[in-house]
Parts: sequence; structure tokens; C-alpha cells
Amino acid sequence: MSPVLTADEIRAKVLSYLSDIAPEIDAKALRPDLSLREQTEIDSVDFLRFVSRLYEDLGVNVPEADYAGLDTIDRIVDYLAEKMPA
Amino acid sequence: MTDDKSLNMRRAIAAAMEKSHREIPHYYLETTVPMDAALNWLAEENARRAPPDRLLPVVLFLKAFAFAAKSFPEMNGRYVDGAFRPAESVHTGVVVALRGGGLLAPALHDVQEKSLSEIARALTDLVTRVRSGRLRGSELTDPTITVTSLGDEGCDRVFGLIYPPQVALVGFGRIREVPHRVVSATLAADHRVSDGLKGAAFLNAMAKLLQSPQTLETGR
Repeated sequence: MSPVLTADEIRAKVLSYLSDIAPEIDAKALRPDLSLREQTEIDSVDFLRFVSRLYEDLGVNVPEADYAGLDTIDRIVDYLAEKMPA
Repeated sequence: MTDDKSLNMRRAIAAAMEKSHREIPHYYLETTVPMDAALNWLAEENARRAPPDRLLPVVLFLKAFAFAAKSFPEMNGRYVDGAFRPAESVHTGVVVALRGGGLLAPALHDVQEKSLSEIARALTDLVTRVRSGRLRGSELTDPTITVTSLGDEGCDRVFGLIYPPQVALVGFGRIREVPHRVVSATLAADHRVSDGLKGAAFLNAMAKLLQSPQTLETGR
């Protein structure tokens, strides 16, 4: 098992996944406290790919019922920090 | 996308849509499809699936659409040199928006013969390749009928233009709660080839299939 990641490390991973899925996004320019969907053209197929990366790379299985709460980068990082396997 | 590519894409869309609007006498129909049964089934199914295997509602749309299209040859084919030629297979052109503007509608082949999981994988693969510019040329010329699904960021309903030389296009709006969940399904069809009665039967067949998701899962 990998060592526990800090919040900054989780944030860096989240931004890199977003950049992989939507390369035209300037991930560093995104406001972490504002809606991702409103700042990007991410659609439901992109979001499913993103959630799949969280599952495959970080071992976090996000149930569909939690999708709605993952609408900003800050909320995604907080969620992952809580759910990541120690 | 570079400015040149973007300009070329805009010109290609302009040429196809001008031709469509000039040459194809469209007629339009709409039906509202109750979605509670399908979405409840999907939520239960997805709760059992790991994220990479989960199904989006559009997967159900595509399967119901392709099943119905297989039974309505007047909707599936090409109008060339003044005559309609029905197609043997249903190759569904799926409208994929490019980020920064423009769109492409490459083919998902033989959707009605695929399982829901196979459709989901094929769709993710297709969308990814459209947006990274890795389509095969034949994928853009293969479609025999087109479907567009606006998804949850879209509007209530869409009235599309048929992509020539095809003769029909089906459009799904976003899923709405009124208070039950419903989706608008529209048909744009070529009046040289079919009439409203046939179009309505096609749309109603598709709507009926969408309300029995178990059939969509098991049917091949």
C-alpha cells in the first residue's frame, strides 16, 4: 500500500487526472472553490472517466449518490482525504 | 484544436447542414418518455458496478434507439441519387461535441447486438478518440442514422437537422423531474422516405423499450 497522501498530493493528482481527461483545461487556472462544470466543458462521460481514475489509481469507489457533492476541486480533495484507504 | 482545424470543422458542419436544410424536407415528432423505471434499474445496477463499468443513461437511450431502428427500415439508410437505400445494419452516428466548439457524429457499429456494458465501453472509447483526434475516417462515413443526447447540461429537447445522406435523427433532451423523471425524445425524419404515422410508430417503439430496461439488458 502506498503511504498516506497529504491534501496537497491529493490535489495534485486530481488536477493531473482532469488534465488527462480534458487536456485543453488549464488545471492550474481553475478556481478550486467554484463549480467544475461551470468552469469547464466536462460532461457526464468525462466525469465517469474521472471517477474511474479515482477508483483505479487511489482505490476510492465513489458511489453515484455522492457524485453531486463532488462539484468543486476543494470538495473532491476533502472527500478523497476522508475516503482514501490508509 | 488549432484555429485552422477549428475553421475547417466549422466549414464542414456548414456545408453538411446547408445541404440538409436545402434538400431534406424534414418533419418533426416528439414524445415524452417516463424514465423512473429505467433510472431506478440503472441506479441498482450501478451500485453493484465499479466506476469503470457503470452505465450512463445514454447507454439505455442508444440501445433502445438501435433496437427500434432495426425494425423501421424507413429510418435507417441513405437517400442517394433520388432514391432511398435502406441499410442492412444499424450503424448509429453519435453526436459528440468537441470542446471549444464543433461536433462530429462517428459510428457506433451494430449497437443493437451489443450488451449494455459493451455499448458503454464503445461509447467511452469513441468519445475519447473524437476528442483526441484519433478517429478512423470510415467511422465518419459509416453511420446510417444519427442520435444526439444533450446530457444533463443540455436543454429540455432538441430538434435536429438530419445528416445527409441519412434520413433520420433522434434527439434526447436532458432528464427532467416533473415530478416524475422524464426525457423528451424527438425524431427528425425525411418526408421523401417516411410519413408521420411511421415516424410516430418508431418513436413509440423506442419509448416502450426504454421503459423496460431488463429487456434492454438481456436482448441482443
